[in-house]
Amino acid sequence: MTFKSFTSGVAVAGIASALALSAGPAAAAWKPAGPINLMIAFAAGGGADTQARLIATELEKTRGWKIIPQNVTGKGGSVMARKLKTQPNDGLTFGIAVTQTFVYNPLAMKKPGYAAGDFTYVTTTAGTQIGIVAKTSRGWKSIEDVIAAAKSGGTIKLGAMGQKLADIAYVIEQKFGVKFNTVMLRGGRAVLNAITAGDVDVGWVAGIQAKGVKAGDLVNLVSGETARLKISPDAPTLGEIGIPYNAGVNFLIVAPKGIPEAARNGMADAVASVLNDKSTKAAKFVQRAFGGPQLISGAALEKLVADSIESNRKLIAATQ
Amino acid sequence: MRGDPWSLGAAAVFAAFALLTLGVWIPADVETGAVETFRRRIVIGDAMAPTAVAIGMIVTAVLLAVSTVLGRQREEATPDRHSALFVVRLAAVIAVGLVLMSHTGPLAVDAINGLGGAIGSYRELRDTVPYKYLGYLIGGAVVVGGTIAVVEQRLTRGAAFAGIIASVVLAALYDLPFDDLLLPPNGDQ
Repeated sequence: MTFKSFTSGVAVAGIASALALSAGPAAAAWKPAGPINLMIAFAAGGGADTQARLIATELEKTRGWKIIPQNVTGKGGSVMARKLKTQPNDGLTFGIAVTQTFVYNPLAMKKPGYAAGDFTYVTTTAGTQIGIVAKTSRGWKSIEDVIAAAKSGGTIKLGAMGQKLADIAYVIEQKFGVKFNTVMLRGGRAVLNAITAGDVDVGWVAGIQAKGVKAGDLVNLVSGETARLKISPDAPTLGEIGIPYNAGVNFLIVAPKGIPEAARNGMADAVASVLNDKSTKAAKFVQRAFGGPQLISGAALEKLVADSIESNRKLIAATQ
Repeated sequence: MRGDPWSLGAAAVFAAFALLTLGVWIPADVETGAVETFRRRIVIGDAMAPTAVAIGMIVTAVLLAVSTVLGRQREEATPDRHSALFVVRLAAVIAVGLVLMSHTGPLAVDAINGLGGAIGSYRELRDTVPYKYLGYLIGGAVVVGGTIAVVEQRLTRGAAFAGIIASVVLAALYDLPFDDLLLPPNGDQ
């Protein structure tokens, strides 16, 4: 047999077997036509990554979907957003990031490479429980105590894991006439570690402080959410101390702009079914880490995105 | 002028590439400068690392050129027409292999659809046997077998066989144990 005839034989056999396998099952409800690429905007092991992989595993188990998670990290989710924007809008590619990736980063970055309008917003999965946290041993019981300490001549080091949080800290500085030394750190875990180690005096932490607060080692001085924190109902919100911004974010599943409505609704319904079933590992993780699922989709999600963009425009204008 | 022309040529090519990187590529493609003021803070920009690398290339190219001109003539082998031809052939084989890797699967699916198979798009089938293996196996076999052929300067059945076996083994090694991995080029579809 010559090399040429050998390769021809392989090709014929390949096409023949392909034709033999061409029949596919018909689908009743929405079902992805092929494997789903799920881009995760943050590093492996973090909150977004963990819930994305747990949700994917559950959907594969219960619905027979094939989901391929892929971490596409960098720039607070913007690297993933840029890539997701260019993917086909056929319902086979989704991404998970946080709202800030779409409603703050494109406004703040010089050349973001994408805009909020480049995506279809599918559903949120959970929200943060963000607050400005200090060690209880510092003796501060409220943000006013920190401001008093700053005014009495002390340098207050504040840890932040994102530019928006640094911006809000700047607004607090402006309002109360103090100056923080804002230190940018990689992720809420790093901020919490810095607080615990005494490397910073206070810092933004998005939910993982709950255990330390419950144990009495940490204190939430102010809630960065629009509502008071579940673990610290006595701590006022930013709004209540005269800072009209929301530091909280939602984890968010998105797709390239213009995916079929059936795919958008099908994915939103599927994620909701996983997170509303308290027996799933995904639901247990979201409960433990973020106080439970927060599922916003459809028109309500579009309104959330639009309102957040408007609020962030004001924040950016106020902190130039 | 003294100095090996191949070494001087290499220095010139790398210096030109580095200058092009500094003058055109980085300004056109990298969103921030080497050092930026971003929202009240001075931060290291995206251009810092590539700028440092390009400067390093220029320094290295200059050192290579200077040492070639000023250094003593050495007896060691230097690049010539045959080595350039070898590099071109090797690059061609790898390029053909990569093209086959990325296009064989989609072309096969298009062909089957064209023959009335109605099997859907390659994107939908990129994790389905046998489509997901077509590009990797054929392209991989061409890269491995072709490389052997270039080195041996002849195409033998042994080289072809080694290419096929190598790509089959690599496909099995990466695809079978891992549910969340897609073989090239399927992750980019």
